Amino acid sequence: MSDYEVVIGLEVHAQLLTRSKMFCGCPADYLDAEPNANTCPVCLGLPGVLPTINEQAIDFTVRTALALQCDIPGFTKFDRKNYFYPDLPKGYQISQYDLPLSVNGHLEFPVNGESVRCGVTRVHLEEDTGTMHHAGDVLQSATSSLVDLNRCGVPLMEIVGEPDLRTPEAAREYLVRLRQILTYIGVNDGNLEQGSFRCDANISLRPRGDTELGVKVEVKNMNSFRAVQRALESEIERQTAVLEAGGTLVQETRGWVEAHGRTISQRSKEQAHDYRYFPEPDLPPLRLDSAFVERVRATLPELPEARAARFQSQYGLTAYDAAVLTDTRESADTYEALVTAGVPAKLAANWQSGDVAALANEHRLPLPQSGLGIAGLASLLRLVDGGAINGPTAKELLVELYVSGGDPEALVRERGLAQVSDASALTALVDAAIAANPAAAADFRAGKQQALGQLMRAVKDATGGKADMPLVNRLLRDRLSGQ
Amino acid sequence: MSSTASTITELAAALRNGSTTPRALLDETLAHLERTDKHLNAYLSVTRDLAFQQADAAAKLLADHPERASPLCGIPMALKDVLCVDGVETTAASRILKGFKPPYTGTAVQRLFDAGAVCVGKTNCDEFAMGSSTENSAFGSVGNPWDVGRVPGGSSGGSAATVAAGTVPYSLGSDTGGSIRQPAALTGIVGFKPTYGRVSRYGLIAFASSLDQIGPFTRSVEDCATVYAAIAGHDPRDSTCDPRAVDDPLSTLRRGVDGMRLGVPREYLGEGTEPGVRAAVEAALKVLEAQGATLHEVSLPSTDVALSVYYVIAPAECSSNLARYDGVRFGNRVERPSLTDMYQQTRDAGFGSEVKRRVMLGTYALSSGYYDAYYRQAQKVRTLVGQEFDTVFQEVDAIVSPTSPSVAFPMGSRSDPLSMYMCDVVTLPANLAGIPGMSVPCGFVDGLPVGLQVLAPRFADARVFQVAHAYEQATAWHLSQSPFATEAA
Amino acid sequence: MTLSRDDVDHVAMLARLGLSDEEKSRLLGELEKILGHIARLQQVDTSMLAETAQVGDLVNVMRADVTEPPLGAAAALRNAPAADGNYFVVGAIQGNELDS
Repeated sequence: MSDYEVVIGLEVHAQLLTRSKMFCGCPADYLDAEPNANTCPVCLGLPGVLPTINEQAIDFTVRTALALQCDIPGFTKFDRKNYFYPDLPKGYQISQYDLPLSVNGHLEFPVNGESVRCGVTRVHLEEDTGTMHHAGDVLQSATSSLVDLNRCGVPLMEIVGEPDLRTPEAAREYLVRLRQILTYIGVNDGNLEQGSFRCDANISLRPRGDTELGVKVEVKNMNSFRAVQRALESEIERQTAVLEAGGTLVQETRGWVEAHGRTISQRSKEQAHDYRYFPEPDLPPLRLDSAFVERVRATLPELPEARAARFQSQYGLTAYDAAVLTDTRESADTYEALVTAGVPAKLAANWQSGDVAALANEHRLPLPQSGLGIAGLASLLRLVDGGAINGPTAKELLVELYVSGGDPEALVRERGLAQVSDASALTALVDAAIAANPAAAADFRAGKQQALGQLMRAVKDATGGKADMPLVNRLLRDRLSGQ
Repeated sequence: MSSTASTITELAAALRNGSTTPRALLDETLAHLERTDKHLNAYLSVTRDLAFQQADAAAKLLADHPERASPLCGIPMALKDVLCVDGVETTAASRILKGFKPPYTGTAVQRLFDAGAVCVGKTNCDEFAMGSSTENSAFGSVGNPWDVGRVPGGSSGGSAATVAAGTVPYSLGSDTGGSIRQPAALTGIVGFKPTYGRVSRYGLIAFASSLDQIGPFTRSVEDCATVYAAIAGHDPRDSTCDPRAVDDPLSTLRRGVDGMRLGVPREYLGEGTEPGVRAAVEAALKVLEAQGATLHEVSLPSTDVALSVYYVIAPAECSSNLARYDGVRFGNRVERPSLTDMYQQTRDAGFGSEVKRRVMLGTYALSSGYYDAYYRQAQKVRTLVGQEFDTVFQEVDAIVSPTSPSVAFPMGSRSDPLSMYMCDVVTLPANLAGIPGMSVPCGFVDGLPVGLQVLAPRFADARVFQVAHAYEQATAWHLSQSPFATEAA
Repeated sequence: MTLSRDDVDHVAMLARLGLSDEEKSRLLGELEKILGHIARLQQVDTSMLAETAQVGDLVNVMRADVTEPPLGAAAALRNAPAADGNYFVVGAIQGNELDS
């Protein structure tokens, strides 16, 4: 075990899924817009304009705060954070300083079978900045930069975690769980690549047993959860090496460079920014009374952890299966829709996590949006459950109908796909298959289990693929052992 | 008829009885403007095309639907150049915004346009509304129509001068520490600063967000009520704009002051008050008494420190509000290879010395280590200023005082910043407390106008009009005309 | 509170004002005088007073989450001092620009 204890705190910025921006009516969905087309006088910061608060953004932030077990103080306000940068048109960002929307929450999640609890210091609301493209893509050497303000003003929720994390793995799990919660409650789309969910980390090392924090390094530019874990691992290596060599660490900001697998220094944090925070005079404060908070609480859906637990108890699923099915709210909703439509719990679980998941992946098309749809799959699985068709037939139909859609019941009728499950008819075919494949039969009797496959295929082909295969299996074994 | 120095009331009647038309009125106005402005420099731009368009539209409305036409329909006016008008150069009297054309029109202005107003031009002012004499304009100072070698006051000097000159019957200005009331006093006209939150600030180039208000300059209190009624009221684009219904000042205008209790703050008639101003105001108080009001000496002990409160809060807010003038998206950029140099040179070249002074002062007051001692402390003392007004208004219905301790002073005579700041010592407390205030003419000292200030509690704007109107109608000061106004059309 | 030349330099940098030495010297004197006057603020006992961030009692002023049509790039760029297609253009950004 290392002499050093790792202390990690994470800061997440999550864009909110509102229709309009935080302080103006421009669409919050800016990704498809031409540069600077998604702007108005307010988000451009033109002379004479004023901000107006988007009530949905407040709702979403309170929703998030409740999901993270935060306290919601009754009084909150916006503040101006003053600094100069081309992607910040007003020369200040409207954010929250000393009286944020919520404080003091936590997130609990398993890491390698053990439960980790990480505090959430605060969840507050601010406006996003514009974006810049630096000529040659490297800021430090670019002679000019292009400014696009389409993103400027999109509502941004900042979630500050306590420095309670002790391993890069725990950090990654925290982010996975946080992202899952935000997407579950419908406030964020969890997209790291497009930048709607962004993460920065603060990491320091201290001699084991020490209570004081070591020199803090901020790490930025990690665009995936894997990158977060790797970047933190790399930092631990780097910092450990410095400390063990007797050196001192510099408090600084370092950027993760994916291609090189290490962090590089961006700027020294010795000179702390003087943001000259003061209360935003253009926006009256907010008083969020308990009636309002309870109204928002009532709109919270069942959170992933609770839903997985319920799936285990209500549907008798394993912890693993329950976790897979509740990974996203959409998949959990899909599952319960299938069960409600009459598909047995275990059957639905197997098919949804197995063949359906594979197809959804292959076609980049979740079941609810596929041609077959939840209703179609339920119909198909009810046919399987009732013994009307066999497994292989069902799989073939699934593949065929997934994208284009269709009525499984009608197709089974039209094509005569009904399962052959009459025992006497099948017994006759079993006998015929044994007779036609004496070598395989002998191998099986001699102990080679795989030999059964050839006999099973023979019966299957004889029925045009419609045999009840589990029944065939049983009949073959009976015949081969009995005789 | 000559429209010079007419009131809105008179012109509205003339337009309806056929003695003039919007176009004829506009032509006279533009001719008068042209003659007078070479001496006054009240205008930064004359918006001919817009005015002709608006005059024609007004004429149509008056012809087709006279019953629907607002009293302001077809009447020329001017706008302080801190008010954004779509496609019209708006400079805030600053080099940094020379050539800037906003892509939108502010709410208060749009309401006037919708009422059929005819905008003849953008008026000169102190740069970014910072000043008390209009000498801080980047485009030359404005002459006082009563004596062009003297200042018209500030920061809305151009808007005041053009009404005092008789060119237009009304104009809009903005008031952050007295920038409507003080120029109104120095040019002998009516100027009104509404309750903070009564008139939308959307479209007003911000100086100090918690203090700024837009308001009218007019020749009569009744006219002022007409303009105020047209611009006041809730605006969803301004979150500080109050949603409660506006009391129509016209409906209570003529109630008089019989039985009203008027407070005279002893600190507002202090040593700094010029003797002539004191005499004129004391005579005005007697007129009000004769009208049935009772006078009561009151005290606002924080008056002295209020100046300090203002000169922390206003610069602090302005230092933040002016950060957007960075040469990136608009404004006159001084091109430099590095961003930091571009920022610094653009703002150095673009801002005048008073603006720089206030930005420096404000940045300092907000900066790390000084925030508590300056900004936070000032905001606390501001509460005290408000509380003192609340206490006084429990005893009296309105406060009366001089608007300015002095009459119009010669250009260049107040070069020391602090002595200039003193011009606002009895106007700025009303901005700190957010209460409404008006200046009405109440006499002359050696041919230079004196103004009487009337203050009332927040949202008692109609009461200000009531007191001011009673005084005005009992005197003839409002009928005085500056030399520029008496010129034949 | 006396103001130093370093203070003036620092504040000018915070405010991105490229003042000449002459201007800085002049401002030092002027600001000192103004701050000297403002110092009387410290004499007021504010222990029982809350700050007035805004006059009036408005709270919870919000708007419904409804979109409005944007201005469009042409209008947004109309006053641009330097543009490249639909982008605003600025010069080289040194590392220290991100500080203070």
